[in-house]
Amino acid sequence: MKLSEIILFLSLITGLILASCKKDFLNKGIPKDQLTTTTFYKTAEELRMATAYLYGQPWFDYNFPFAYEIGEVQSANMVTYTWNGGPTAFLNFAVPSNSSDTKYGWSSLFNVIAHSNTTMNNISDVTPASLGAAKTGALGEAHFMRAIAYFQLVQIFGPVPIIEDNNKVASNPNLNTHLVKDIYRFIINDLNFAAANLPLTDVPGRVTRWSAKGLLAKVYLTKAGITGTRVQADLDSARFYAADVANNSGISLMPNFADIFLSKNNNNPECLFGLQWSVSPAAQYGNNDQRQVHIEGDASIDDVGGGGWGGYRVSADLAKLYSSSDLRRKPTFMQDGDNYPELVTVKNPNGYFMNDTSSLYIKKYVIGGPLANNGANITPQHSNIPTYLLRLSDVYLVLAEAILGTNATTTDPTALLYFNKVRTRAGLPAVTSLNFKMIFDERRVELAGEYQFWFDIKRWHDYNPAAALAFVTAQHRNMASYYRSNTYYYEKPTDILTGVKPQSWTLGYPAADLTSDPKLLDPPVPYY
Amino acid sequence: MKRQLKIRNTNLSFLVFVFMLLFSFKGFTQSRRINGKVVDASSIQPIPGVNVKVKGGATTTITDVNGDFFIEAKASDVLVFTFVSYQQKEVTIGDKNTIDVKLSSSTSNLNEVVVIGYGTSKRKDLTGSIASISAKDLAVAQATTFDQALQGRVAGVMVQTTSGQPGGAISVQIRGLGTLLANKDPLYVIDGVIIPPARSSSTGGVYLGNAQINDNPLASINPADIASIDVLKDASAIAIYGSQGSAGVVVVTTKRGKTGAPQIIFDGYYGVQKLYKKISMLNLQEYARFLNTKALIQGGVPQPQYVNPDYLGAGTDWQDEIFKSAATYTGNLSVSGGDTRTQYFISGNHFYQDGQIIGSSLKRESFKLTLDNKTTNWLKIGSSLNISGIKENVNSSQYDIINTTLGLTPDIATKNPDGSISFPPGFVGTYNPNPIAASALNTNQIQRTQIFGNVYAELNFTKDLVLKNELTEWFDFGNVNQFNPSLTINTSKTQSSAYVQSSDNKTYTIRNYLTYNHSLKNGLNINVLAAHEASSGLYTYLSGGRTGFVANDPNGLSLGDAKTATNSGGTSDYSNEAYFGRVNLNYNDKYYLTMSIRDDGNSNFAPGNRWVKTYGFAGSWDAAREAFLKDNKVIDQLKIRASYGLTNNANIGGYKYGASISLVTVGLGAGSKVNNIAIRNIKWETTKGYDLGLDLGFLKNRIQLTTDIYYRKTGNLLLQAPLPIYSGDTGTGQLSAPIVNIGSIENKGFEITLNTHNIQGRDFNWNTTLTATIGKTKVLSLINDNAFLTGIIDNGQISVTRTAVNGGIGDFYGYIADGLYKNGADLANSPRQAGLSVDQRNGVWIGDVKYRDISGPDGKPDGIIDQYDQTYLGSPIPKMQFGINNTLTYKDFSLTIFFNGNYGNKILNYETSKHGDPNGGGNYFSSVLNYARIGLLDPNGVATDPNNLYVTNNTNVPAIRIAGNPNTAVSSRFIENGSFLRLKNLNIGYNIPKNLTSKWKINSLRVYVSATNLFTITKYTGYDPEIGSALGSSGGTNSLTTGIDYGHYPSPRFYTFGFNAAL
Repeated sequence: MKLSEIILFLSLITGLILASCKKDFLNKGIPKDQLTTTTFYKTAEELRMATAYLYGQPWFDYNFPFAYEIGEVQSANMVTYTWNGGPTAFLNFAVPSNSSDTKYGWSSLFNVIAHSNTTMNNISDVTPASLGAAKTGALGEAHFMRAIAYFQLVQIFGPVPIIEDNNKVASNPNLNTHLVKDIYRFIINDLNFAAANLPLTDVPGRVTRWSAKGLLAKVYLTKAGITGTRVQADLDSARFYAADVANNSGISLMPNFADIFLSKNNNNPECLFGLQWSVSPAAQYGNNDQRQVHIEGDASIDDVGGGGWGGYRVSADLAKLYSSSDLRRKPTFMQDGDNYPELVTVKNPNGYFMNDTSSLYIKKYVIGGPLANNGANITPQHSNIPTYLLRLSDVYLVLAEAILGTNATTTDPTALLYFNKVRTRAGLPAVTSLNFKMIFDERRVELAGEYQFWFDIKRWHDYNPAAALAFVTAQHRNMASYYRSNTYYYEKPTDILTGVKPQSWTLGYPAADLTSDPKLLDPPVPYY
Repeated sequence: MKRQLKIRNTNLSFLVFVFMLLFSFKGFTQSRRINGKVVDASSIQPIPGVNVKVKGGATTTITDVNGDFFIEAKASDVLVFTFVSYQQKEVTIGDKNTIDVKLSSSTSNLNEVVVIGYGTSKRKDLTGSIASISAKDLAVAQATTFDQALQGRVAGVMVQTTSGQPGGAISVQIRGLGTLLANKDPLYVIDGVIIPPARSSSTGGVYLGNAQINDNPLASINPADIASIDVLKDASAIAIYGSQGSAGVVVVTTKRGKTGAPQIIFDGYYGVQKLYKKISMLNLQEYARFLNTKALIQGGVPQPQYVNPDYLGAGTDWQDEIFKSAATYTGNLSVSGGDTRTQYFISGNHFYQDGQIIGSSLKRESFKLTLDNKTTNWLKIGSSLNISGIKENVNSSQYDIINTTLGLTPDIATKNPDGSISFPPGFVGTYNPNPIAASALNTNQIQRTQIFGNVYAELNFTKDLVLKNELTEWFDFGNVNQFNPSLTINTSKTQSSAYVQSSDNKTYTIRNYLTYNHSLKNGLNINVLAAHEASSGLYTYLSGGRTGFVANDPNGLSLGDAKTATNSGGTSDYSNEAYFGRVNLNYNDKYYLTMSIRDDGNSNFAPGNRWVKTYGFAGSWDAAREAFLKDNKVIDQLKIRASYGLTNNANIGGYKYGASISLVTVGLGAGSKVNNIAIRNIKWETTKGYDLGLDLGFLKNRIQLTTDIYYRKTGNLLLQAPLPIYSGDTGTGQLSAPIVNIGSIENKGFEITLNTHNIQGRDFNWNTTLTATIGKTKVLSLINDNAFLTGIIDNGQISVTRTAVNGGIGDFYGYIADGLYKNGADLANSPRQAGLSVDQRNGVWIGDVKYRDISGPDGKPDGIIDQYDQTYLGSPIPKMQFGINNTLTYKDFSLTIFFNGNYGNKILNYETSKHGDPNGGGNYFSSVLNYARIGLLDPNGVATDPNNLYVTNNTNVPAIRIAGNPNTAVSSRFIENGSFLRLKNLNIGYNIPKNLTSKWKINSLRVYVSATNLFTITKYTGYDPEIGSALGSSGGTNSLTTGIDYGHYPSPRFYTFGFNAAL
């Protein structure tokens, strides 16, 4: 057995070597075809990539149809046919708790928050301080995104849970909602951080210090009324930040309103914040903008196959608000007799001629096909224009509204100056005195189709519920028809919906989350 | 190990014998040569391989292929004849020189060798719960893949065919589902080669178009090569396999050579598969009449071609077009043998199975070689090597052909008058809408080549101490090859496209284990095992695609338009390592004790959480060996077993503790997306369980009963956290929810195996085996009491199951249908779906389905049908699965009748919701003709007044509506009873008498006919009630979407003729 003993000895040695020499034997499984959060965020380029994502895909489910339904349809700027049940429910204030559109809007805004949180937490953990402004600027972008997502959420749903660390939510997911006032405080904190850290200028499409300040003005204006009585200090803050943007940003309005919504002018300086979409075939689903194919009135406008899926049209209520000389009418909606020479397709070499007398087609964000957009790769689900959520003219009108404040009228020169800048660009005469309804209507025609009008009604309702309810109740929530020979909008009698009232001024939480977290229905709790 | 010892001693004795022969002289004590023949007592067929041993001595031999043996022995010696599954026989030599022996079939399996993991044991010595099946059972089952043969034959194991596609996936669950996300399949160990978990096959799980192909990683293994399968069920038995075996272990031992003359065995069969049952669909006349009625109700006019249905023929019966009689054939040739030093086994197999649905088939070719060599007195070396290749045509699964076909209307011709393939008139599109054309023209192949095997060396240091070193390797090369040709469909031309993928999956394991086996004089046997094992695997893949090929043939990837080329690739790896040991104690075959412990490390967790301990304890006591029972004539065995153990599961895949980032193209150019939320401290899932068993043997073991009750609780459940939407885990651009350790599941059950030898005669024998498995699974906790997991099908659109606290896994969830709204009053007084008014077009109307109002936001019925009224509609998991096997032999004839069945499960017949709805599209089940007829109470009244309407017939099929369809919700209407009893196998065999076969120089020849799935008793209305898990639809989560018939590929009825010849 001598030999065996030697072999035993050798085997044991071999075994020990096998077991001990490779201490890293279990260090496997780390993916080699994907980057990981522990190694990324080390260079300025990587930070730019991380924040570039926040402008697109997480917003996809919010962008359309939800934001259109809440911002445009529920506010009766736009209407649709009854066969399209999603928006019809919004038009009738009859959104069921299991509405998939609500669920999409809710999930999308929280996805923006989740990605903003993850991005800022990872950057804080991993990025070296030596990157300086690249690091603080990237953190500023993420704070801006979280703020604007919460701003949408609080206006639509009221109290919602404030989340700063999604890893913590994953361990302990049953959250309470937080007080609306605390959510505003949270938004303002984020925007203050953004305003302090974002650069003064950046490449087109990226948010800057002026984006943060413009949004701060709007947030303060809205926050002013949430208690039911407008708080002068908030109005003053709104005025301060709006005036700062108006006076100091160096940015001015585009001379011609229609040019804002041409893809060749994408991310023009007037646009302080827009969601950014891609037409590249390499872009993942969700980085694309599919609005055009749903909101266009006629598939031949872009001629890329399909179209007009949503049956969206401009309401009689909105159409009647435009003065016949308003230069914003034609870039906002189409009516019988309109010609859009830029909407060139193979079939329409001279542009698009609107000759449908039965309804009014939407024009804003309907940009046509590749021939109308310098050969951009436009397909049914890929349109080539950002979704602007904050424009300079919006900030000008916020300034006017903040200055008017609780007064019935104002002749404040600053208010008049900026109000009239918006108005005269539209080809309308300047005014010499302002009241609330003038600003309210001006915002509506200026920003129609840009998801803002419901928030304007809601902001009014916060401090004057009776007036806002009366306004909604009296709205003409119907389609309009128009003959070029006549000069008036005929309200279609078949779909009379006038007098529909909002049952609630906030949307219900999606049913799925009510089931998994019944605490959502408990009274909101303080965050601070 | 014991055998080693014997052979070594034999050699020693042989030397002594030779020595004595040379130097001693004749005397009574002198050995002499004894000849003999061993035959089966009932068939008088020779039995090769019988162990012949001199009692109390060291001399031993084995009968050859003719049952002949010779041995050197003294007149005073007693020869002991032993062979698996025969009764042991002892013969005193006396003055005889020739000893012919007849062995009777054993009524007992107590001496059967059972694999216990890193060693073997006799069945009578087991402490844990282990079930076995033999090569004989496998041969009768005629399974394409060996896992099919476990069905109904092993108590405690639930087997469900997931797809009838040749070589399709099988779901095997040992003692129920104890985990949700981590690997729920048992660990398969084939000759020591651990089939890699998580990524079981290099091509498994590849998404091909819309459907996921459920590929079976075991399809490349030839069932004919298998000698035995042992299923380790309780925690104490599993513990020695540690982390990988927490869902149970299936140990497969393949055939090896035995000492003796060469044995050449040739066997094969030819079979035909046929569709078991057709679903009654509308033929063209019925379809035309139905559409005409529909048009009338909806205020339209009949389509011109249907104006006179009597002039129409039967139209196309699409089921006849896709289902066909399909052939299967196989041939196996094996040669084995060896001398006392070297034994070998070589086999080759060719197998072909055509699918009963066009566009499906499996071809397998395999070779196997095993070699064992006793090199020196202290060293034994050996190797086993398997090479196999399979080629599967998965066109039908990829195309989701059953689903597509059931929707096709009988007015579409499959072929044009000129013989070319036709398409639905007016169809314009970029895909091929005709399944016949798709199956015939598209290419969808999966090819796999597997090479696996081991080399080992066994070192005997002393009589008791053995070291075994083993290296196993597993190579799995996969190819996916898809090509869709360019076709002209009506006026449009489709674009040709190709996709290929190649992958390889390599793993190796090094294991060293030291065994010490010692018997003390006082009757105590000690067996100690100490071991180390390390394994590692690497998976690599590369894929590419192109469109726009110059021609449809040839269509190699490089012939496509280079500008359209896409490609991707990647690698992943894993490793694990373990130290483990076991002590087995046996005191006088009366008291047994087993203790095992294992320390497991796995790369799937972050450093710090990688190592975990597994342990198991078991004991047993055979009361029949005690003095007070020793002399009784009735009870042969009365053994009580108890075990307790902890096992752990890590099979979640790599790097789940970290977050990864993808590079994406976004509006602002280059972007990066964080893919998931990560919880770094995720750790092993832990399963604790006990088992109480009873083994009984009566009347010389003519009746043997094994029963076990078990309880198992899995905690720290590894699960993708079910989070509220506000966590950011839902919708486009979501961050995937993290894998967390939350919740617990319990499995409890009872299993029974009853073996009876009803008749034992010289000519006639009748044995019955009954197995039954009764199990229940309950979710004890999740992330919180409100959390639930949703099973989603139909491209992520339809939620069909819910897994919630206190419920089972994948319970069906939906509304309860309470018949139809029968009249105006019923409609007015009954609850309606939220948001729906009484309306002929957009709301609900007479003849629509009425759902039951169960609850509301305040916990009580509120008159509105909404999500509060959804409830549990039954479990897809059988309460009991059972098998009854009868084997009858009469002289040279044998008959096997094997029944199996499920009891107490539900099936969601999703096809009914698609095709049994009069308001749906496509073709319809014949059952829609029983749609609700709406009559007028007052014939002169208005048809738009609900109070003037009523349902005239007694039916649950909704009425034809003018527009809209509020009747599609998942509800009890589509839930059916899934219980069945099936004659799974019927096999009649005949051993052709020796006097005939010997003329053909054949030692033995058996011929048989067999039928599989001959009949099924069930209330289920679909093709096949045997529907397993793993629904092939994106968005479907396997264990959450079981028992759903959504184009399930049914198991065929299968007739075969076969033979088995020993040359």
